[in-house]
Amino acid sequence: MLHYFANPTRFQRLSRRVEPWLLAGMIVCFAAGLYLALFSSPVDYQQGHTVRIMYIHVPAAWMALFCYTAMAVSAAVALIWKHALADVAAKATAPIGAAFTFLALVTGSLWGKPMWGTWWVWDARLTSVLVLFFLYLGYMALRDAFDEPGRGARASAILVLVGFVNVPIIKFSVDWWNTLHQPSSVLRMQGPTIHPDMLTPLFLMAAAFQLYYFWLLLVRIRRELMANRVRALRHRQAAAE
Amino acid sequence: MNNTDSILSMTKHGAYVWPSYIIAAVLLIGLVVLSLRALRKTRDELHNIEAAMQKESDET
Amino acid sequence: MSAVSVLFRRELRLALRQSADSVMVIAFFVIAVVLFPFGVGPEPNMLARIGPGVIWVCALLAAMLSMERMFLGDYEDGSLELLVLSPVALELVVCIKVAVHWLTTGVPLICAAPLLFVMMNVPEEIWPVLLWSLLLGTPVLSLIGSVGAALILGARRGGVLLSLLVLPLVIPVLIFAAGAGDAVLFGDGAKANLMLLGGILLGSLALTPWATAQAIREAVA
Repeated sequence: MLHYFANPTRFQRLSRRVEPWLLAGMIVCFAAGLYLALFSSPVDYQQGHTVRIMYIHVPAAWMALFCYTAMAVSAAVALIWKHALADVAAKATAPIGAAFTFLALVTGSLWGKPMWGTWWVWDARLTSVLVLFFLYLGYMALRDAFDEPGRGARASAILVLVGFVNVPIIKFSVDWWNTLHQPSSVLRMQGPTIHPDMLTPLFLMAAAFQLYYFWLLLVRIRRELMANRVRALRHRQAAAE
Repeated sequence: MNNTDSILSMTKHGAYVWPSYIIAAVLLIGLVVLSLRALRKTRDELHNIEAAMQKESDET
Repeated sequence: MSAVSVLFRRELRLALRQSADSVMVIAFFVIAVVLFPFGVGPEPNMLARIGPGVIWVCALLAAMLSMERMFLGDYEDGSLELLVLSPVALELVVCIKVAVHWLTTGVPLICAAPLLFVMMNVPEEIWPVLLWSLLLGTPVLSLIGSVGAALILGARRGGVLLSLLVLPLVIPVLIFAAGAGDAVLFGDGAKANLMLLGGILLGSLALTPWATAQAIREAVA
């Protein structure tokens, strides 16, 4: 079945049918989620209004990890089965994942300043997400560093898999490092025990981000497939002359 | 919601909450705009090349 | 076995012929560390506090300098394709190249380290632990660096890109290695750090030659 969708034309037809639904779902989730997040949800007992940042920060962090996993899976499929669509999916996902990671970091800082008095702290989670951001940047840089696009695709696929093996190692080593360096006054991001009234906007925003990802992914894949076709036709044109 | 806090100030935490949402909007919408623009540009390129090749094959 | 030793001797000869590379790496290592007292002031207690970390970071950066050239020469003159086609397994070829890289880069760094310990006023009681951390950690740098070096073959601006790719991946090594000193001084001892470094070394030995070989195959395909 995987190979059924590898055909670009078939994929484009299917994608165009699915996209409007994803777009509609995304807009609904954003509308409901944002309304609840900004206006209708309760103020936290300890954190006041800053808890509203959580509705962006947490879903963004979830998406940062989700996108990297999606990239790793796509890269593995591309390398093992030489599946053309998987490779395109990885390339299309990278900037989206990088954007979510950056968003998680920035909103984390904006949450941290009023809450814990500092823009940045070398907490295990923050540090791991920062390294994840560098992994995204490395992937995109490597992908674009070759004149021949196929070479960039294969090299960056290997990089993503090596990085994926390292992500749990980084997470676990930074956890240890954090406790090593801060034995007594442990700065933990002990968020509020989440009240059900807060869970709804959180899940709505998470769903909105997820639908956003899938919709934008399809758009970007379509663009990549067309760009591949343009390149192929240009080669044919040049060969004919 | 505590109705005595204005939406904008949110008991002075607004200076942190609003930029979060605005940055999120800028990033996410910006990515969409860039992607759609690239899509349109590539689609035009494709049409141009296909038209040119069609013309060539018509002439031969 | 004789094919392996022939290859090993070839790599060693090539590397020693360009011994200026090793010298440059050491020189960079020393100069980079020496900059820190100028930058942060010469107060001995503070230097001692930041010494192990500074020395490790500079060792990392110095190792990066020589990483790019691991496969580049052979790639550019076509010998890499021959190595891919040779009867010796490519993974073994990678191991040989990594070993030679470590012998000509990592080992000199370890030898230069005591000088830098003195300059950064690192307490003598933690010298052994730090030397152990370098002994276990520098091979990991060569191993993980080999993956990066293979990935960037034929890339534009390979050198800078290599650092961007490899440095995030070796952060765990840096954490455990540089932390070994503090673990002895303020904690329960560095046994855990060194064991973890050993574990990372074994894991890298198992996984990276395969990844690097794959990357080389992609590069010459």
